[in-house]
Amino acid sequence: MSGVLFDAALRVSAADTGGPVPRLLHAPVRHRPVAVAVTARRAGASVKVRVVAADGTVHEGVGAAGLAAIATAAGGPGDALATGPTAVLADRVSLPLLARLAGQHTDPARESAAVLAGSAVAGWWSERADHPGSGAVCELLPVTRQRWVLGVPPGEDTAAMWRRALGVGGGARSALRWHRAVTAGEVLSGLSVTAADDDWLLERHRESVEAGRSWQVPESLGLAAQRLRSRCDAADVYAAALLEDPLWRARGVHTGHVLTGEATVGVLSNQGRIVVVADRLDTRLRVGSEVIGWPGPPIRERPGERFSGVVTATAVEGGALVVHIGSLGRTGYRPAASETVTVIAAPPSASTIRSARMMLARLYRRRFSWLSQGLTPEPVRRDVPLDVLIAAAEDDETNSDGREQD
Amino acid sequence: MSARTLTAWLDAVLAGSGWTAATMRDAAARPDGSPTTAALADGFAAAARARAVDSHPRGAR
Repeated sequence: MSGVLFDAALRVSAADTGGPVPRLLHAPVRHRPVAVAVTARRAGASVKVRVVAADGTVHEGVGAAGLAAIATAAGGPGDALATGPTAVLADRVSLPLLARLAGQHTDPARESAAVLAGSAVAGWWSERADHPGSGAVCELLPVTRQRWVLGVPPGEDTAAMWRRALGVGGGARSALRWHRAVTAGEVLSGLSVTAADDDWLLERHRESVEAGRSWQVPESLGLAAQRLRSRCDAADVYAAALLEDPLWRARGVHTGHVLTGEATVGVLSNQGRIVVVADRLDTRLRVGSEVIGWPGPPIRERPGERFSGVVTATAVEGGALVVHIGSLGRTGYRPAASETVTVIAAPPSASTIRSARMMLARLYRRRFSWLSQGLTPEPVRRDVPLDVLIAAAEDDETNSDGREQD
Repeated sequence: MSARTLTAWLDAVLAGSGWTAATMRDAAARPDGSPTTAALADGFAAAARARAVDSHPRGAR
């Protein structure tokens, strides 16, 4: 609820100034080297596709010709698959229509190179659109609403209002101008993982087309697993990337995602622990949460000096929240006494994600891995350690709701 | 779309807090330690910071 109130203040400020007010100082999506504005509409039993290239040239066609128009607008079949243009979408109906059309034209024996390239690119857009922060697709209205607010209630800021507010005008190239406006400036750096996944999937589609296979089938278990892993990681990566932005961190204080308070140090510092005392009690950080922190309030730019650790205890003392953070490194920055600090959940590590993906790929390639066989491992029974038995016996005193049993 | 629409929405959001669209600036100027006034104060501060830092998007490239 407090997040809505924070946004309400932004909306009032926007109404006062008569223009958009940023919710983010960074761009929430990456832009790829090439962008094309795409619309798709039903045309009888088929779909009509209209593509505006970066130079303003309009390419269009119905059915397979519409897919070929995508490849042509992106510089030809080879360039389309090599660069992977961003699909700039001004509505929500085009992408489902494109996805359906793409799935109908994947047979290398029947389709031209341009149609196959357009189909593979549209299939890539459709898949990557589900990954927040992806540069493959940019739905203008949701992304713009993520970056700025207007002085109207949520959801009542129409595309026409944004076109006026951003000064992108009308005409064939207006969507591309709007895209440039919403992706201008520094991009959230945490989205590099998502960008790498964009490239990875595009490469798989390109390989399939160049090898004379459909980009849709057959799909190996390993590829399916990698795609699923990418999907699972994307939401966490995006949520963490947003917290790189000082305005989003200021908002995060009111949603419990950001903890700010006064650091207490002393003898505890020799033990690699600090204690943070905060006025607000509604943090989402729990015992066991890995965190990072730095000096200063959330709205200030994040400095280079920071600490990382693990929440070891939380308590409410005298109406304040006391958070114990342990496992601090022996070297590097440690908060000084009475210093204001900002603490957030540790973002996903790009290197950890990369190594986990490599491990997954290796397991699926290995001939006798249970993963590559698709078999559920047989259960193996062995002696239960005594401490596990004791812990289980203690759990018997509470029911599944965590309440004591009668 | 009018200022009246925004006011009605703000009144609905603030219902039960003791504040209204007309008084929310006072609430932000003098936070009383409640989550409501803290959120409003931080929101107005963020808007001021954003306007100071972020160039107006109009006419971007």
